Amino acid sequence: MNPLYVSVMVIFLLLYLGIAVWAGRKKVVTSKDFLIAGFKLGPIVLVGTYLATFYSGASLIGGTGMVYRLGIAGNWWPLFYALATVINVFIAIRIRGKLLETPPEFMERRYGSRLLRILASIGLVVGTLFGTLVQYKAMGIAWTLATGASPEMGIIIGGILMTVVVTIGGLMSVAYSDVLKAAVFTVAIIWAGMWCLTTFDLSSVLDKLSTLSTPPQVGAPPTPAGSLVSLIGTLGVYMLIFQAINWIFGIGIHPQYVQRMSAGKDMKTTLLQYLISWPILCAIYILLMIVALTARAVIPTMPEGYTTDWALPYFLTTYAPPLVGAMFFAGIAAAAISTVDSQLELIAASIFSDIIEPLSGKKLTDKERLKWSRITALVIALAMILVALRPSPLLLLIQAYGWGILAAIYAAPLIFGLYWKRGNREGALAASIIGGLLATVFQAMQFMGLLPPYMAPAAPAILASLLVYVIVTLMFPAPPEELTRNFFPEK
Amino acid sequence: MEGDFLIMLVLSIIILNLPAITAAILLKKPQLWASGAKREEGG
Repeated sequence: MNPLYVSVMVIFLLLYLGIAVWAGRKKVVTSKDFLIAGFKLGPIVLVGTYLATFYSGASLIGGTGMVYRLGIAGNWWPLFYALATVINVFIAIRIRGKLLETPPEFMERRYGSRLLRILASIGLVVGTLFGTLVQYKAMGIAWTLATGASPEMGIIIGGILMTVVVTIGGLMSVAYSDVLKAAVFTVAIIWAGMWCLTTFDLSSVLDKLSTLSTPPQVGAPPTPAGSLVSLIGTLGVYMLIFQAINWIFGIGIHPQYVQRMSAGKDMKTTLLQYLISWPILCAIYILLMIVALTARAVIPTMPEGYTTDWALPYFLTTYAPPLVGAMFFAGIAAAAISTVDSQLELIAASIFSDIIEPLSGKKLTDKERLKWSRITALVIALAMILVALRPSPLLLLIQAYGWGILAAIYAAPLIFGLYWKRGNREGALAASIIGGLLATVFQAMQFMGLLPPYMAPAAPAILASLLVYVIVTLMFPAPPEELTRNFFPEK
Repeated sequence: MEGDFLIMLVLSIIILNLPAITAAILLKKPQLWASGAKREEGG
C-alpha cells in the first residue's frame, strides 16, 4: 500500500461526496432539478459534466490498452467519437428547446406513441445497465491498485458514495461533482503526458515501435513488424468501417449525450459545451496515445499476469514519479465514478419518468415526483452494488453488446424524427423493433462464429433500421400536424 | 522511421476539433437554430 496513492484517492472521494451533497441540498428544489438539473446548467458545470461523460474507465484502461496492443491504429476510436459528436451537435440544435426530462420522452412528443417511449426506455436501461457494471469493476481494480485492499471493498465504498449522490441530488449532484472528476482526470492525463514527453524521446520511441515484433502480452501472437506505426495496423479496412458505423451512430444518438444537451440553460450554452470541450478532449486523446505508445516501446510485452488493458497503470506506477502515479489512479477512479453515477441517474430517471409514472396513471404533485424519483434512484443504485459484487459471466457478455443495440433502437427515430417532417409513428416503431431485434440476432451470430470477426454486429442493424424507417414511413400517412408542429415550426 | 504517426497526429488534430468547429459555425449563425429553440423555451 502506497500512502501517497491512498491519500490522494481518499481526498478525491471526500471532495466528490462533499460537492455532490452540497449541490443536491442547495440546488434541488423541484423534480426537474433532480431529473434534468432544472434545464439550467451554466457553461462551466455543463463542460465539466460533458467532459466527464467521455472520461470513463473504458477510455482510460481499454482505450489505451488498445493503442498499446495495436499501435497508432488504436487511436481511430477517439476520432469516431468526434465524428459522432458532429451528429450530436445537429441533434442538439433541434432538440434542446423541447425541454425533455428524459431522452425517451422525445418518442412520445414527436410520434405520439407511449409504447415507443416505453420501448425506448427499456432499450436505454438494457443498453446502459450492463456497461455500468463493468465500470464498477474498473473502480474496484483502481481501488485495489491504489490501496492494496480488495476490489470488493472499492466497489462497496464507491457504490455507497454514488448511491448517496444520485439519491440526494440526481443529475444536479452528478453534474456539479463531474466538474471535480473532469478536473482530476484532465490534470492526471496532462501531467502523465508531459512527464512522458519530457522523459522519453518520441522519435526514438517510434523508431523502436517500427521494428518491434514481440507479443503485447504473454500468450498473445507476435506483433507483425511495422504494424504499430501503421494507420491500419492489423485491424484491416473492413473492421475500421464497421467500427466507424457502430461508434459514430452509437455515440451520435446515445441518450447520455442527448441528456447533456438538454441540461444546459440555453442553446448558446449547449453549443459552448462542444466548443470548449473538444479542444480539451483533442489534447487528452493525443496525450493518451503518446503515453500508450511510449509504454509499448519501454515495456514491449506485459509481464505475466497482466493484460494489455493494464499497460498504462503498470507503466506509470513502475516508471513515473509517485505523484503522477497517484493522480493517475485518482483519475481512473474519477473516470469510472463519473460514468457510473451518470448512467445510474439516467437509468433511474428514465425508469421513473418513462415507465413507472406513465403506467401508474396517477397525476403526481411535484413533491411526490421528487420523492419517487429519489426512491427509484436509491433502489436501483443499491441493487447495482449487489449485482456488481457478483456479476455473472452472462451479464458481462451482454454489456459488450448493449451499446450497439441502443444505437439500433434509437438512431432512426431520433435522427429522422428531427429532420424529416414526413417521418411517422409506424416507421419509428418498425425501425426500433427491427433494429433492436437484428442487433441482437447479429450479436448472437457473431458469438456463434457465424459472422466474420471484423464485423461489428450492430453496424448492419443500424443501417437496416434506417432503411426500414424510410420504407415503412412511406407506406403510412404523414403524421398529424399537432405532433410535428413543435419540431418543425413555420419559418 | 516514424511510419504513419504524423498522419495520425494531423488527422487527430483536425477530426477531434470538428465538433468545436461545427459549434463555432452554429454560434456565428444563430438563424440556423434560433427559431426552433426559442419557440418552447420562451413559452
